[in-house]
Amino acid sequence: MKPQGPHDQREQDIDPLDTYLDGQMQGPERDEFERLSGADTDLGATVEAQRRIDGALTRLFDPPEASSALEAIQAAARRGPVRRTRWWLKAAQVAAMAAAVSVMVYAFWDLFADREPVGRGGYTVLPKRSLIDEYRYQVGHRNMVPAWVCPPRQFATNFYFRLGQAVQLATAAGVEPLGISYGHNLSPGTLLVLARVEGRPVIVFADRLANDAGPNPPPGDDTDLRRFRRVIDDLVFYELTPFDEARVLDHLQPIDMPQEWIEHPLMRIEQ
Amino acid sequence: MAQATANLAAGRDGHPKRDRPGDAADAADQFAARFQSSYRLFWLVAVGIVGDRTAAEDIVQDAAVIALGKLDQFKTGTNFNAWISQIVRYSALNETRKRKHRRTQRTDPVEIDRAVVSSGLSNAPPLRLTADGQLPADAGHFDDAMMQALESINPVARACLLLRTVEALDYQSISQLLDIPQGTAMSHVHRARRRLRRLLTAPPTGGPPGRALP
Repeated sequence: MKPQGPHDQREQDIDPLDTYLDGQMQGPERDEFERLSGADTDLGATVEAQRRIDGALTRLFDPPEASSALEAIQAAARRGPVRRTRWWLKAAQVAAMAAAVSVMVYAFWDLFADREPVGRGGYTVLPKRSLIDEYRYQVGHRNMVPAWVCPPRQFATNFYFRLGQAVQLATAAGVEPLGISYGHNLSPGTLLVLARVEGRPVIVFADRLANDAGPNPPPGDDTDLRRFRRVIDDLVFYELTPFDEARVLDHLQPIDMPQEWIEHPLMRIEQ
Repeated sequence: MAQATANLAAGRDGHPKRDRPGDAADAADQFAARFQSSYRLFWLVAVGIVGDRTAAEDIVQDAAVIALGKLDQFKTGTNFNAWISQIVRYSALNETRKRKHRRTQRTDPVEIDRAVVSSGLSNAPPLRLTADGQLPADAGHFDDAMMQALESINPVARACLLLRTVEALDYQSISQLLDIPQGTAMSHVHRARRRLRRLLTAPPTGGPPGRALP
């Protein structure tokens, strides 16, 4: 039984008329009420109206036979235990299947995709490679497509904010600048200048001179590549080239970073 | 089902007793017998909530099938009628929601007109008492007016009223069937009666205006 609620009726609140109409008035109390209702026209009419209402309710809402429900029960029993799949169970099954497919797709992608891992903060953690491995990767896997094809101003700005010194690449016959890429070679912040010289790939690796401490084996005998080194102020440059001489290094020139480039709103954000 | 059979065979008060083991057929038989004995109550609960005789039959029938499928979940020591009634109430409330949704989609005035006429909920005037306070002998519209007046009563209160009036069910049983306090059930019945009297009766023609019966 439920506890009493806010709409509950307490015994002292019950109208004697309700008690009488509810059939709960007994004995002398009932006799007295009937005597009163016989004398009071309004009260008598109320009682009579309620009797008529009750009669209509009983007639209008006489329950039907249970036959149809019993037939349904028997039919259900013949079919065996009713197994109603709950909507949330169906939803859970669909979700589990979708999750399994997602995991498989991700695993497949993770296994075979040629991509670079992502580190904390969403920045790409570049795989550490030697200069020669990076050259092979850029030529063999990326087909010398740079991460950034940039005009001279962005070229200089990139050097300035990453390595602290603005640099420009002067125009030279037979040298086709392609753009800038990033590598983890001398340090995690090595800049790569990609170019084609007479149609052949040449890469210049740029980094702070202080990062040029580790052993950097020269290209071995199994390659036709040559390596050239140049230091400009606090920067160090390595050119890996199939030519017998450096064709790009000499055209890299340090410049003073124009103040308006430094104060450009976009530049401030980068800082 | 074996557990269901053991759970099922119920005493007069709706409490189950473990008196015979059995298989699925036994369980279904026992369930059907127990269901049949209280069918009128379940139907009144359904018709009280949904307000439609035919729909109430369908709801109780569906509830029977659902309950049979969930027989293993019926807990020994709990009230069988209250358990079934809960399923009936949920089914009836679902049906009411569906109907409400369907109704809101039908906006053609011709269709609405047709629906009102066919449901018997036309604008029948309230029943008027004769000069000596008696109800008129012939009130052909009374049933229509009754159905219309019932529409204005809360579904749970309507179910209370019908269980009390049609089946003369005691308030404790009504409380268990509808999962409400006993006092609330009584309050619903009394208020519903007053409302029906107010809506279905009016002062005698030519008498003092405006005084509705209590």
